[in-house]
Amino acid sequence: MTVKRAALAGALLIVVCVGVVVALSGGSDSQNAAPARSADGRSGGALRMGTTNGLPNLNPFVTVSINGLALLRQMYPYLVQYDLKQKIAPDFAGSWKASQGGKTWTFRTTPKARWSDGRPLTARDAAWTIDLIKKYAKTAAANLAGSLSHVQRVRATDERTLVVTYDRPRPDSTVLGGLTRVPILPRHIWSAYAGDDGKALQTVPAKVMAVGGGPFTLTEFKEAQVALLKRNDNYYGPKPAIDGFGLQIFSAPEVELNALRSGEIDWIQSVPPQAMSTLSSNKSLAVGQARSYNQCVVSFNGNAAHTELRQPRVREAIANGIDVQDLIKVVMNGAAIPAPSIVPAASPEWRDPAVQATPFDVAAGNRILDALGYKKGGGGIRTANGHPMSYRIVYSAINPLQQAAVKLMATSVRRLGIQLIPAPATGVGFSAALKEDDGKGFDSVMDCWTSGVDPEFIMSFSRCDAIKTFTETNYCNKEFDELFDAQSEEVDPARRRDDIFKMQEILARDRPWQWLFSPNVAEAWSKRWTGFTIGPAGTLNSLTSQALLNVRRVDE
Amino acid sequence: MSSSRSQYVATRAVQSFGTVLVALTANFLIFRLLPGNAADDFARVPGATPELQDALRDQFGLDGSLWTQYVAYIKQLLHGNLGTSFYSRQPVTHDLAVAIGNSLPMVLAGTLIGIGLGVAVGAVAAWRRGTGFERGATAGGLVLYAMPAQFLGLLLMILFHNVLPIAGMQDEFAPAGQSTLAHLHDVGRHMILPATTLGLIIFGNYVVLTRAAVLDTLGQEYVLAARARGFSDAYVLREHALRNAALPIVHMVALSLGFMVAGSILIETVFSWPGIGHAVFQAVLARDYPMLQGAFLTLSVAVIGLNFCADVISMHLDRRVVG
Amino acid sequence: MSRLARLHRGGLLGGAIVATFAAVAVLAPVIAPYGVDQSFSQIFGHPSLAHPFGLDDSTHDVLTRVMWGGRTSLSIGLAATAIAVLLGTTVGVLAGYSRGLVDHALMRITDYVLVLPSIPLVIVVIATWGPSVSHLAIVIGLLLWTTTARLVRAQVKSMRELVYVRRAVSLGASDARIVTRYILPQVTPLVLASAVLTLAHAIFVEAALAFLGLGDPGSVSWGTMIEAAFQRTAVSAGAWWTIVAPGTCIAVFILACSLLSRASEEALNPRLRVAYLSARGPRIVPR
Repeated sequence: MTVKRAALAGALLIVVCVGVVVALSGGSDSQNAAPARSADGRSGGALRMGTTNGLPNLNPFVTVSINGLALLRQMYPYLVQYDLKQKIAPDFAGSWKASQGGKTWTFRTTPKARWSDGRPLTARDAAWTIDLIKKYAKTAAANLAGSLSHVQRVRATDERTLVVTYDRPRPDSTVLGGLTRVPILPRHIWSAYAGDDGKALQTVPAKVMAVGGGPFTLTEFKEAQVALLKRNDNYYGPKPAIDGFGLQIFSAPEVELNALRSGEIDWIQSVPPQAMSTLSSNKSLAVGQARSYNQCVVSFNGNAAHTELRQPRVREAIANGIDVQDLIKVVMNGAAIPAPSIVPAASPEWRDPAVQATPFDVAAGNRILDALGYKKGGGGIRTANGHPMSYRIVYSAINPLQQAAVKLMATSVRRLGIQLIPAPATGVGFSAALKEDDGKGFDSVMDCWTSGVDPEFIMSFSRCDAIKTFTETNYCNKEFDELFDAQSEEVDPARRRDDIFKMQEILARDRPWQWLFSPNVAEAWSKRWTGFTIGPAGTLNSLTSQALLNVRRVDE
Repeated sequence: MSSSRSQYVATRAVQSFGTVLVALTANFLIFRLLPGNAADDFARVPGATPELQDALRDQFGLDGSLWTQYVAYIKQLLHGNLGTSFYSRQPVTHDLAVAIGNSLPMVLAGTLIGIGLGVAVGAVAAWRRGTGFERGATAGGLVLYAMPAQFLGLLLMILFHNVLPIAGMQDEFAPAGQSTLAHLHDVGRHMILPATTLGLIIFGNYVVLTRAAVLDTLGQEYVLAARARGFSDAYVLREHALRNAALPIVHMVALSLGFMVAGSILIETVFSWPGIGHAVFQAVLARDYPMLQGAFLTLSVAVIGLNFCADVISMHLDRRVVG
Repeated sequence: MSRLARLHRGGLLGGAIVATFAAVAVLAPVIAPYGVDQSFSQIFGHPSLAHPFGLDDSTHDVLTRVMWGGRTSLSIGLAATAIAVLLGTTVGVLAGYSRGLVDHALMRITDYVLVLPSIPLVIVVIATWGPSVSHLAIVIGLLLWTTTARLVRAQVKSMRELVYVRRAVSLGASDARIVTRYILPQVTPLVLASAVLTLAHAIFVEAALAFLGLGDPGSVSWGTMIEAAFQRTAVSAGAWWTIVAPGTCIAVFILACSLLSRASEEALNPRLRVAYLSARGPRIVPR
């Protein structure tokens, strides 16, 4: 081949490439298409949602991701739900009655309900599901069993009546709160996988999840990429306006934002604080914020090798060295509120007003440490118990919010003569760091927790038990545990609230957690859509089946 | 093939197999010796219990001694079973197949165009030594090759984010029942930016490499001798220069698979392309051992295999290499 | 201009660029216009006279951070290169000098490290061990030694056959003496040329790791600057300077290393046939 031919070949290749690129550049994706109209004339349309939270699987026995749980909520019937005001409301069970002081609960379920494939959906399916979960509570169904831990027996006395018996009288919060997390599964589909130790339950093929009973059914799922759902016309509850929706997973907020602005998607789950102003000034997009259940916290290891860190006074001094307002301004760009207590402001009925935020007062912090006799040594770092007061603070390495917050805190706490050393951990390395050296290896952790509507979940991580499963505090206080057990059985709401207030006061006194701020829920969407109800858990959440009920296109 | 050649092939085959065995074992050890495993992280769930962690450990065979785990691993491999992914609870072979299937079109497109154009331009540049074309091609190649993949990808994203799709492999929300042609069009559009990023870097590399290789062979004495004996330019180029320049290029292709995986991790992250690079990264974060083991093994074996092919090809090309 | 002269010009240019970067890195605390973490008015401020490279997402001055970032990137790169070159030279000399089994075993190990999906492995190790400057340097160094090893081995092997070496052997000189007196001095220039490319490679890997969130969070490096810009939505905000500034530094530095090594390769050993030292690939050496 001569050089000329090589050159020609090369030139031809370039021309072909350019031609292909030009041909493909003419876009024609769904963003330019006219809104689809369904057969019954409702304008419907499909809502395209985007998120950066992972979605590895949608199997009810496996999924623990927040969006996985939110999608299950839309795919399956649940006995009860939270309404859009975070109050317990009927779902598949239209009404219920507690008897024997709360030991036996009788639910009346919706009559003539159907699964998406047309088969009858009855209380018997509910009984079968709960039995299945109890049967494999220690193995395949361990995820779901926690919500049913006090259930002793369940049976369906007829097509519409479900009787659940508990080990002893239990309050609404335990019974109903637990049942909001248990999806009812179609027996006629799942029983094939229910034998033999239940091992097959966790690895069922995707088509098994295609039959459901919620407002939508799953039509397609590509792990960690996209989940597509269409409206279930057999749904027993109020039908949403949209024909369907899809949730696409993006690898970074950057890409997600771009997709929103170019019209490839219609809604994003979380607006990064730095993008708030650019999005707000975009005329075709709307931004919505709300107080959330999410709170960011610094925890102190009760089992730290640096024993001075176990003292509440030292913890208080460190808290005096953290400027929460500055954190909110710099890290969150103002899109957060201070969080004094373990119970978020979005749960006002459980939040103890007596628990106040610790003021940012470096002088006071220094006074405390001086009084304790910790002198400043080389480099301005104080010495305690023979070692410098230099502490490792573990946090998730790929979380830019936490990274920035830890840096700021380290700078301000330095003024107390205490050094915070950032110790980022990736993915599962996080739990490994906490278990290191028998739980003595870390000094403190920065993390963000999302509590549920009921404070019991977030409080449970401060029990002595938690040390065995997962703890960032190694906190163990008998009084706290007793109150916890009491409130989980307390049927009288006023007395329960007292218990919960007392628990908050104990935690505020012992300071295993130093709660900092609560990042707002911040969503953005194209103005061509409306009806997003941004509650403390965002629009797409696992609390309510009505999440997308009111969403519809504007131009109709 | 002469007997010394077949001997060479046989030796290389045995060597490659040996490397595969090393790869298998090292693969297993690497992931078992790292601290932290996926079962620990699942505890951060409402209702998590020690039983749940035990159940997971049992299911994934994380208890038992290292030796028993190794034996189980080899047994599984012989059955073509790469285990079940912690993260997705699907068979690793399935997840790998999907991920590789997603990566392949994009990587192949970028690589083939990059190599094709790079070799062509490099060869022309070498022949046209001393011209502006050669200088430009060399400079351009060097610059492109020096760019970190994520930087080049981001640059393209900045320039084209209003014109071309910058995320994902396809429009996930396209109406069902789309024609194959429309689907190909969709994937093609999404592929342009990531494939171009990869292609440009590879192009840069091969321009420089090819030019140097061709230049070098052109300077060899046997070429001089051939021209002195009156053979035409075309003949010399074809029979000697390009043939011998092909040697290092072929080696490069085989060994650059490693680079392509690295580049693809970065490019797939930038453009949210759901391929093998992205899958590996996710698996690392989730400590998804079975997936990581499977991916590493597949990639190692692929590289070993390609190396072997490259050796055989180069043996045919270079009449002097025998062993 | 002849090819040689052009190569030398390229080499000089490369050398000048590398020297400049090194100087800026060393002098950063002195010549940086502002503090690394000093805050200014607005996030993603446009480039201006006061801030030639603009402001980033935390209102810090990008030019200052680029200077300090160079310090981190270059120190990780240099440390990694030192480790890689030391290890590679040792293995190369051992393998090239001793024939037979030792050579064979070392080469199989080198082969395996070459076929290993190295970047994913590095990711796994850093993700587990923790991303700090020292960990990064060590892991990257352990990744990059094979190219030096192969080069050195080839050179040592060919040297072993040289007349004066064989004469020394026949005269009863110890191995150690032969290695130190004859082999090492000849090998050193080659190693230095290889080191320049290893440095470029190390900077590339550091930037890649940082982009995936595995850079050292406590310090600024060119790689972490690109990562931060990407994670904090700089592209959507139109703040291209937060990406272009650090990225161009990396590209220019790697380019400079390439130029430098091409010139030195030519100068050192114009007859070394197929050693197309390229910025990231492996070397092809005569068997």
